[in-house]
Amino acid sequence: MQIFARKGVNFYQNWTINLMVEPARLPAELIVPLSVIKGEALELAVQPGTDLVKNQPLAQPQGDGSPVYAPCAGRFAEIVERRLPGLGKTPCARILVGEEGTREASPAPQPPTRRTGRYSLEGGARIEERKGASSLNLRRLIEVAKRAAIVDEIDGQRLWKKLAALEGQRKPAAVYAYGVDDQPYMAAALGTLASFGREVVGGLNLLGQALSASTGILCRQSREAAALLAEDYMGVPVVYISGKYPSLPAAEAYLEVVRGMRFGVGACMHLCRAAEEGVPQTTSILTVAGDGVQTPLNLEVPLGVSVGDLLEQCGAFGVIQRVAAGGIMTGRIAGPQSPLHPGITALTAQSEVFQPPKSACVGCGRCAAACPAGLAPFRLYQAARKNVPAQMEALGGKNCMGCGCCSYVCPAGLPLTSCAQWVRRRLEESGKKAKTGRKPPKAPKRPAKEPAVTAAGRKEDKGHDENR
Amino acid sequence: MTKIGKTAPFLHSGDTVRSIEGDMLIALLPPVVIAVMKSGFRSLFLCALSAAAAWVAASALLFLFKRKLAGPAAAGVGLLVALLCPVSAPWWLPALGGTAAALLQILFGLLPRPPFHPAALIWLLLGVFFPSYMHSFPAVSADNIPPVFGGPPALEQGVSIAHLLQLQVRPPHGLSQLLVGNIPGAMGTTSLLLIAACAVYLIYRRAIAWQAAAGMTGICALLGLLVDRGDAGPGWSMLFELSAAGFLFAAVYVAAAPGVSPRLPFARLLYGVLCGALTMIFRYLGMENSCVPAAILLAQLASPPLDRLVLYMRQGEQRDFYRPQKWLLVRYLQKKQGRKGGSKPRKR
Repeated sequence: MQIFARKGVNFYQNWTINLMVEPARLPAELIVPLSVIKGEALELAVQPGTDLVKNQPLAQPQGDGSPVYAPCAGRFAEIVERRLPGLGKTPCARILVGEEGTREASPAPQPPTRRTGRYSLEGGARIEERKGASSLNLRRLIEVAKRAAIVDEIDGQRLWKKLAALEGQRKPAAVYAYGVDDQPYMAAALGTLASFGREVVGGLNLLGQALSASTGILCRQSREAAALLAEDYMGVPVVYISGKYPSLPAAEAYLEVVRGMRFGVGACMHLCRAAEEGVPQTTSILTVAGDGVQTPLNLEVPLGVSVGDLLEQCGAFGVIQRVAAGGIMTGRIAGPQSPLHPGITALTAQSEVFQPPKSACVGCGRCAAACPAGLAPFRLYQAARKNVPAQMEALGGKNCMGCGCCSYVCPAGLPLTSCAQWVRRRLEESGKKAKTGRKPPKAPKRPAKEPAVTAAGRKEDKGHDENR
Repeated sequence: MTKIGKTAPFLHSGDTVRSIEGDMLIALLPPVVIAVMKSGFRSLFLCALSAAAAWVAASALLFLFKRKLAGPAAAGVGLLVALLCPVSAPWWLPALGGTAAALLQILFGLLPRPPFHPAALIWLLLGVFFPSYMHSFPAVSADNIPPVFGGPPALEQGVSIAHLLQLQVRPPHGLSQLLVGNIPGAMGTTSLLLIAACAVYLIYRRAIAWQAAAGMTGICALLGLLVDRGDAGPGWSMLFELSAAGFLFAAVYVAAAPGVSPRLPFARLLYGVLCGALTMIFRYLGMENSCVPAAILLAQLASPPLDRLVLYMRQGEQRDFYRPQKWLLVRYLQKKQGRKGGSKPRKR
């Protein structure tokens, strides 16, 4: 089956990649983010200077949440603060991998021999009993996802929170693994399906059974996808999305009709691993590509590997002007020292950056023709410059999905997307203000007290765009 | 001042304002070639003179204000004005028109939104102030080629299609003449086939608003089919209306130009329809030659309100572009379920 994305833009980038996912090289040290979701407060489970085993909890949630696990064995050296693309300054654990870390310091995660019984997470052990791993009810699945700290890469949210939101509500009729790579230099989803198809389908089936829903895979139409998935992939029907970028509105229209819900292929894969093997999510799969690297690769990267290490593995050459983390159309700029978090599925190194000469709006109307939400970005830009909230609202500023099509096509080089996003944030803030009847709280400039490595310690919101 | 951070996307289509202007200039070159083939090298001389005068005037003005030299847009507007003049015009007429159009273009550029296309305004003004030069077209024949240089040449005059239609007489031209452009008219505005080909190029390069050009030509073609002024049959009437008084040329190069047309797709369609309808109304009212620029200028005045109207109709609501697709999908799924239902064994 095929659906068509009719609004947006077409890309004409020619690039090729070997779809199969390779393991990333483990560097001498890892900088593991201790908080990858906004608003999640964590406290250290081990003190700096401790030797760690693989999958050992580094930080535990304060209240309801997911822990952070060590992606490899090594020594927990210290806590450092690093800028994470899209999250701003975040406390991270510096882990020295070294020789001790490269050899398996923890007991290798063997599949449980007992058919029943629960395993604790202490010491990097199992999460879920094997019995019934092929069919868990929703509550058990939420527990597994929470303990395994799975992040859904399509929206950067915790998987358990998405599932918990469905409890006591009308369940979706279908669940879909969202394997759409619609931006240039992005192939992580298809790579995951190619390399870990069994796990993806396993995780999807777990979700389908827990929600009593049918299953499917949503995928971008391409020759490679058709060759790999065909019409039916391991018994799961595949729905292809063809046409323009972004695919999301077409996918959402389809999901609305079939009353479906989508989950990232990476999240499905990690869910299957957590349920079957009992391992938490300590890796993420991402595409490292762009004109600044010699060998574009799909890599399974342990959390905490820096951008520079990954670029080195892929043969970065020449002067790299810019590295975009999370897709070239919607991502953020990442520095070479930035560690990666599970919400990032692409890393694009650009050695040539084209910046059109800036001029006033020429009235070509390309932005309005390309906008998949049917907005008038040139008018939003004017409204943002004048800072007139009523006008911004009347122009539908809150509907901007931030796909970047308007800026991509603008011949005058105007920052239309960032303006529209700013308008959207502003309208959301004013909406909150109207609801609560008071000003939305500002993020504290400094963390209240030293101790707990809290997410509140990071610069909030304001820096969301400018935190590079 | 609103502080706005620099964010994604980190990719650009590569099209710039200069590249759009360059595309317009490139698309103006084939009509020059046709004009040279039809009327000799005087047309090339007039076009070059007008483009050069426009570019020099614009650059001089920008130099005065300590800016960079003018881009291809200034030369393009000069060339456009020259192509709207007949080959029998004196050399100073296109030069004057081109210069004025280039200066107007810079002046309009200072406004938040240019009110008119400078070439359309100059076309109308030249027609008003120099009607004897602008509205007399030489007959097309091998013996009727004007000299390259010098004042207005004494040529055998032809009768334009617009004039014949006004007199309710069937123009004597055949299909090949209309397509190739062997008819009396302004230098670059006569060949329907070539202009259509250039329009395809411009639409492919996204240099013009296709909705405006399509709306304008569509309504003219429709009214041409319905009202047969030359008693030539509906098909012929449509072709004559499209080629009369540089209509198709103006629809592609003047009315659909970015900047002066509305910016929203549906507003552009409305604007095109308005342009075409006004042209035809002026023609029925007896305006013969200046109906096209007058209609385009009036419609351009209405383009900001048209944008606002379309935005007002939406009321800030997100448009559901996928409604037809959803409807088709629902039908497909119902059909599929029906088929599945049909294969169930019947109860006895």
